[in-house]
Amino acid sequence: MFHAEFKGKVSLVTGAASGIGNAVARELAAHGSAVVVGDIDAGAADRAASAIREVGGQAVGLRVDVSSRGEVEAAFARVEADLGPVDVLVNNAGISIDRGVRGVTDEEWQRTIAVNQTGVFLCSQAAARSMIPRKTGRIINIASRAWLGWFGQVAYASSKGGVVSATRSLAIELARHGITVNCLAPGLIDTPLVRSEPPEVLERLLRAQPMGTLGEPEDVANAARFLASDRARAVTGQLLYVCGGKSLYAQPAMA
Amino acid sequence: MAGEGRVLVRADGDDDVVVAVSSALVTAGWIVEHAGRSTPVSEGPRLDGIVFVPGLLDTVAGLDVDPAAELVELVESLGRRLRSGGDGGARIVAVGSRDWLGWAGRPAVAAQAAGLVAAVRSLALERGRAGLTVNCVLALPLDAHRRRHRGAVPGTHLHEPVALTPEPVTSADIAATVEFFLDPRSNYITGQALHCCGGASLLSSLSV
Repeated sequence: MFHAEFKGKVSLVTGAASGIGNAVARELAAHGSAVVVGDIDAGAADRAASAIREVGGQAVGLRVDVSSRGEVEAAFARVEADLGPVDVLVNNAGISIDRGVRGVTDEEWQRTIAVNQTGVFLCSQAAARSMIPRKTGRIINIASRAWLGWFGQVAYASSKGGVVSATRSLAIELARHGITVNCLAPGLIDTPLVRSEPPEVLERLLRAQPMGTLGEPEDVANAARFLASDRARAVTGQLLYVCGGKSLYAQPAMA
Repeated sequence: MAGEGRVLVRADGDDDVVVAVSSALVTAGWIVEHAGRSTPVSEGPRLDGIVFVPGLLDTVAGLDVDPAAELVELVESLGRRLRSGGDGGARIVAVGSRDWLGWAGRPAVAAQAAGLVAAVRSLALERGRAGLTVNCVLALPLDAHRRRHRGAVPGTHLHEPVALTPEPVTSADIAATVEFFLDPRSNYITGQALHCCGGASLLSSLSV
């Protein structure tokens, strides 16, 4: 079923070829937005956009490496030329290559920060430049509950902590221009990455979570749609956990 | 947006917010049941949601009852009426105040609002397995701009916090955020304190 909530809007979702980003792209398209499926994998972005079009949505695929200023600026220029300025930016692209504090290399640390943190900055800067003159816009950053800290995730958690801090600074700076900036922090979401955990590890993690269940990418997508909507015009600088209560308490059982 | 059930609105103040919440829910298709502090509520049709509005936005001196305790009692008294986890569970939303971060001139309100946040988080931990989500929307007094224009809080140099966004926060903004948490699709979000205050929470270290 298609709705008109975002009719006439242009949304750019990064890392949208699969997982949470893909769910967000489909959600916004299903509610009337023209959606740019941004991803570093051009073929996957095109296939994801095609899937949205097949069910009646408006979508185009676009390759973008969010860690590259040149690629980000070129992507925003192309979107503006083809569809119009971006109304909704969802910074979802991210990587997780942690191997613990003793194992992570300089290159892995720098790549994690470049994609997860610098990518948010570059895309938000490009979006803000076109949103400020129009006095409206929505920026939604996908962080992670892991920013609170987690075993073996010093690089990933640090990068997501930077995303939370950037969200608050951008919200403060852009509020007077009618632009809201918020952050979603997913917990255990049913994605291939989470399913790749050994069953006993996943079970232990779920036992330490109040609701005791995995979330779905669509749970995050629904929250993103709210924050992207006019209904949330008074919500800015917020960090909303979509985590089944994991942010409240998540000490796993001792092995 | 996705109203498809019955919700009880328990209100003890903040009339403008209650009207806006009720109107938004009815428009979205919810069946709305109203109750006050003395209304018997333990018996009745199955409930998909509860909205608790204790009146923290209107008061300056603080409420004469503890809203945290009231919320806990309300959830306990409605236990049998709430949809079970196996049947989709139920959503509980409290409306509190940004004052929980602390505010000059309203220490009692701040304490009660902070207690309400703690109760929400505790109930979320306690009732998660039962399929209940418990969240709160934290707003500004609807007349925050007027209060700010009156000058500094007596005895201080501090002025009332207001939205950083161009427009004041309205009861419709608060209602929309309440409705988001009531949405069945928000069933993986629990224990959250979401500020609907146009960014007025952001300069407090407690707000993240």
